Amino acid sequence: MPDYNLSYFYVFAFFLVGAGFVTGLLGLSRFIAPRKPSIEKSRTYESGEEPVGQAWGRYPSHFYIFALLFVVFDVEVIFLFPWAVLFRSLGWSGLIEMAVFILILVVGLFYAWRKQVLRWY
Amino acid sequence: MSLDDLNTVLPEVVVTATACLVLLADAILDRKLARFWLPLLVVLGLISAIFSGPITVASHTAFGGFVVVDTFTAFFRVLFCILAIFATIVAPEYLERRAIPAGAFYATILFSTVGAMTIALATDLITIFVGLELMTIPIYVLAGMARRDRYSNEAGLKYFLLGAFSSAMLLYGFAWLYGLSGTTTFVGIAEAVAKGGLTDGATLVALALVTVGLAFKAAVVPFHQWTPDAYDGAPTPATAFMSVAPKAAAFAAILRIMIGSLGPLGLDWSAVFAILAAITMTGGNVVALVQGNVKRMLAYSSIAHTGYILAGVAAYQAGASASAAVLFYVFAYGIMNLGAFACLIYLDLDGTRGASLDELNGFARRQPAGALAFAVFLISLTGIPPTIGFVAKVFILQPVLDAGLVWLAVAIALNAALAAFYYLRVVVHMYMYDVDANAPRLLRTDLLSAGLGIAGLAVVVIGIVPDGLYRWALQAAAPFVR
Repeated sequence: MPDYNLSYFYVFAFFLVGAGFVTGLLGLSRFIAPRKPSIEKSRTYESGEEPVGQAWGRYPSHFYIFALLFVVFDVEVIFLFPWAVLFRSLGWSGLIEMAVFILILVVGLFYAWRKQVLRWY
Repeated sequence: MSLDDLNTVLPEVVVTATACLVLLADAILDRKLARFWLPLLVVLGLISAIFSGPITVASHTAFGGFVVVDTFTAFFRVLFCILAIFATIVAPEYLERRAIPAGAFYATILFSTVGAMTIALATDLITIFVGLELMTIPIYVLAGMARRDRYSNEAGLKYFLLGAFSSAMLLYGFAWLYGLSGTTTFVGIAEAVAKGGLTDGATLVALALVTVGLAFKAAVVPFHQWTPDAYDGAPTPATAFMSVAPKAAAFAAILRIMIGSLGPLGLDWSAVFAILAAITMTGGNVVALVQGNVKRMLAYSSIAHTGYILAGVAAYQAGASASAAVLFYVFAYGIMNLGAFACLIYLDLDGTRGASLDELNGFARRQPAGALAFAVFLISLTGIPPTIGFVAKVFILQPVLDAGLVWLAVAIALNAALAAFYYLRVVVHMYMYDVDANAPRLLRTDLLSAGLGIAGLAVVVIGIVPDGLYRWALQAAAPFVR
């Protein structure tokens, strides 16, 4: 068997051992642990608070817009880092390219701002 | 990146810049100014994009071989820009009536157009995939743009889920192709294929995945299930655009990948395409027969037309005339199908749904110009002379016969006859029935009428003198001739 196939085998063996370990321990506790359920014990755990309402309730999702913007600028930074590292060798053309890239994102941000998307309410 | 690279993709740069300008203008101008300036800005930007690129040009690569500009690229660039202009002209009154944000709509169409143009530029699997995503992601947004309409929401979500699924499949197919040939460039893959290196089962897997992925994008039966709901639920101007531009781009991708790089393959993939073509045209037409909703009927008819175009791809062994026929048909389909969907914009219905046949009763008396344009587009879709649709079908039949696929030619002829029934039924309802008492209100739309008038005229004129366009299509097909 070539080396790389052997390493697949190790991964598989590790998976088997891990799965066996977890199933074994959980099964063991199922058999030897005492089980005395009560209302308090089987209630939904909300960090010690009294549980309120259903898990299927509706909740406001204003925050998604900031999550979305975060992703956009996060991805922008991914492109900025390698550019910053090679800033000198890329020279003026690199600077202009990055300016165009950021400008396009700024247009989007400006549009979102003018269209009142960023307002919190 | 050098100045030459930028110059090569100048039309794409112009369209992108126009899209950004539209967003800025929409953010700055007040409602009244925006209503006038935004469509004008879009149309001017697209026209300057058409003229900023060469019409006929020797093949020229840029960006280190990721991008090529040849006659094929030039053809599709112009086609996509024309379609975007047409979709913009028919939209304003509808958008205003339904309170759909116009600036976002135009910008989304422009971004999608850039993606479609990028597909035409592609000479590499990576470029083509980036182009496909750039084209389809805005289209998902367009489909769901009527936010308060649940059919529009359904259209957007359904298109997004199945589109993402098909993209994943296509990408996996690309990965297999790369793994087999060791390169992502079309030239490299074609060389690897020509050496006879790719004839095993793995090639079959790659071929199947790529075919299925592209078939999803072009709405080929049996990968078409998203089409009727997405086309029916989307706002009508969006439907008009998304029924033509992505399909044209999908065929640009099919020509580039299947003929341009996998043409010399030992496996005979054209037989599969011939069978898919026959199933697609028959399936689309049979289901269209029983539709009472005209928008849904046109959605199924667009599936049937995919079948006709696919027949041209299947006949690629006939040489340049097959690829040219595909290009000509894609052009003809683009104009007449966009026009047919746009004619439904006249009817001011609730929500995004299309008119039923009865709601079109006596349409010719209420809106003579619109009904005439609709009739011209429907006759052209049927394939009756003297229209562009007739010429396109003739050009498709010739290479299909040359390639020895007589049964497929018979299937095309039978299907054209079948389709005549449901297309002409709409014309009969418009011209020979009395207006219903509760007929829907009509939009007052001068811009829409003007756009439809120009397109209708083009359909007839090119139907009478098709030589110019056909010669151009032949030139555009030249990169695929060996």
